[in-house]
Amino acid sequence: MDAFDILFIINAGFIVLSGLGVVFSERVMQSALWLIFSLVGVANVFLLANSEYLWVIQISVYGGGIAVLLLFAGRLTSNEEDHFVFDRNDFIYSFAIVVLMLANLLIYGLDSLPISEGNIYSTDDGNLLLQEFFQNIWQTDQGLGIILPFIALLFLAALLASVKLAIKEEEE
Amino acid sequence: MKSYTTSQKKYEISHIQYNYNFNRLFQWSHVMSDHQPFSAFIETLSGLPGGSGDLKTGLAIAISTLLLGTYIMILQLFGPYVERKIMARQQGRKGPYYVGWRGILQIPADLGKLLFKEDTMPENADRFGFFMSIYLIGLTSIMSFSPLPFGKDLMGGDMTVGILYIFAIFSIFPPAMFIGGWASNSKYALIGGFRSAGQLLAYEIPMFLAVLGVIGVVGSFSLETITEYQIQHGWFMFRYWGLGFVAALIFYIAGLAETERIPFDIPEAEAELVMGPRTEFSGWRYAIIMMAEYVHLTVNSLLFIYVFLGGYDFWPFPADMSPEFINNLRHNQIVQFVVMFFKFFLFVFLATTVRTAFPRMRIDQLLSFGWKQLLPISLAAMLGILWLEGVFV
Repeated sequence: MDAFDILFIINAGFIVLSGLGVVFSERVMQSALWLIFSLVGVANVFLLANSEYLWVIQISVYGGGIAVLLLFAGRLTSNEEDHFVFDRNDFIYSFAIVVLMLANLLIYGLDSLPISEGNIYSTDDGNLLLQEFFQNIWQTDQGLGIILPFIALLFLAALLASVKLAIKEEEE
Repeated sequence: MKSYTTSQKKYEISHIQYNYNFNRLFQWSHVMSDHQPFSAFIETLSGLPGGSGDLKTGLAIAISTLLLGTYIMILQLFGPYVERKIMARQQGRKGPYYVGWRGILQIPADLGKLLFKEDTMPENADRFGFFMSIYLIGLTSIMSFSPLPFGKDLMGGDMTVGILYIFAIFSIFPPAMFIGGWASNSKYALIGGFRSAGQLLAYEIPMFLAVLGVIGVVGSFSLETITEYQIQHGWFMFRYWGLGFVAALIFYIAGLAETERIPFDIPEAEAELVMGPRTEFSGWRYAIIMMAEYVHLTVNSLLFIYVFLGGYDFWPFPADMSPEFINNLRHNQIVQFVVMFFKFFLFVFLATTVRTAFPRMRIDQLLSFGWKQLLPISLAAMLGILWLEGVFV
């Protein structure tokens, strides 16, 4: 375990913590702030993988641009002043489904990787490992791989959730 | 000539060498070269007996980076003093006069006062947002110093993404300011935050497009490589039949808007919005916000100097059109350091003159000026520069 592993673990913990912050903050703006932290943490993973360019682009596009977009959307669309609270139960269920799907995808991708022992982020060549990871997700022996059904399921979940939200609004 | 080839070589190494050792942790390991003033210090400390060599090198690099960072902080601390003094002269006043020689210690005295003031927070303010926005603003402004060279090799870190890094770090500023405005639970601050975020977004794009032509010509994001290119080929501002000047002008205007200075200080228009998103911040929080503003002014001025005005170079002509002794002087690090000092305060003077001379714009004028005029012109200037350089042939 060298300095990079320690940095990676610290950063991963930071991402997970800020992800939890996004989910469990009561106020939308606080969630957005946590989201900025989480996206910057993801950017730092690119830095650890030696991709400075991706790091910078991730920070400027997601940490800056998308964050402002979300903040504007959060402020301009909430009709209650400062007290927009999620419906906790629905939210937790849909969140759990998405997390399960993402975990499945991650495990599937990581499962077939040649990871050497005692090294959590790379073999000899970090770029090759990343390449292989995405190849594993995109294509398998059967054909299209896991990513297409994954996206289909994600959109289906989003569609169902939006239908449910629309029905709820009509009831109100 | 010699030092330029050295730079090229180093640049290639920084691209190719990807080894996961402790040195890689310090991006600044490229700083160590024969020309570096700190290199003697770094080598001495690395050669001391005991301890791991990598650790000592890292420590030495950290100390030299700290020295450079302190220099920039002190430099930008005197920005406001110079600004107030010049502004007072232009308005027929004396300006700061009593604290220190000719009032030179006025800004440190103000800073001390702000740091010891009571720390107040509005009732019903969002504690998390109120704290975190200030934290983000202070952190990002100090982080932006890293890729600025104050002489050849005299920099925090020669990243391959140099100028993009500064843009990325600055892009965190609008959401942080917006959240700060929202968290203060004040209408002035909230509206100011909206305006600030909209303005910063609108002017970031022409600013970047104005630089993009130069980046395309040089083929590198590194500010040092851009400066070395200008030493060889002349300053970009005076090249390409005026297109360089157009791009420079757009960059300067957009830079003023990014720093929210006077013709563009709509987010904190005093008459309507008190202090904009900064309204509720007092004491050390206000000190950090003011610091961040002057850091923005500093870094934007320095970016302009590096990209269009030859960086630490003092002679605007190409190397093959210049006498030999001037070429030698251009590669002298002490001369480069002094040149940077004077160029920086020249830009403080320029910004102050603009501040005293121009009235404030309206928010709709500002946004339509940014999106409808600056953006297409900067795009055209970029394409023109690339065409004149023969990129499209």
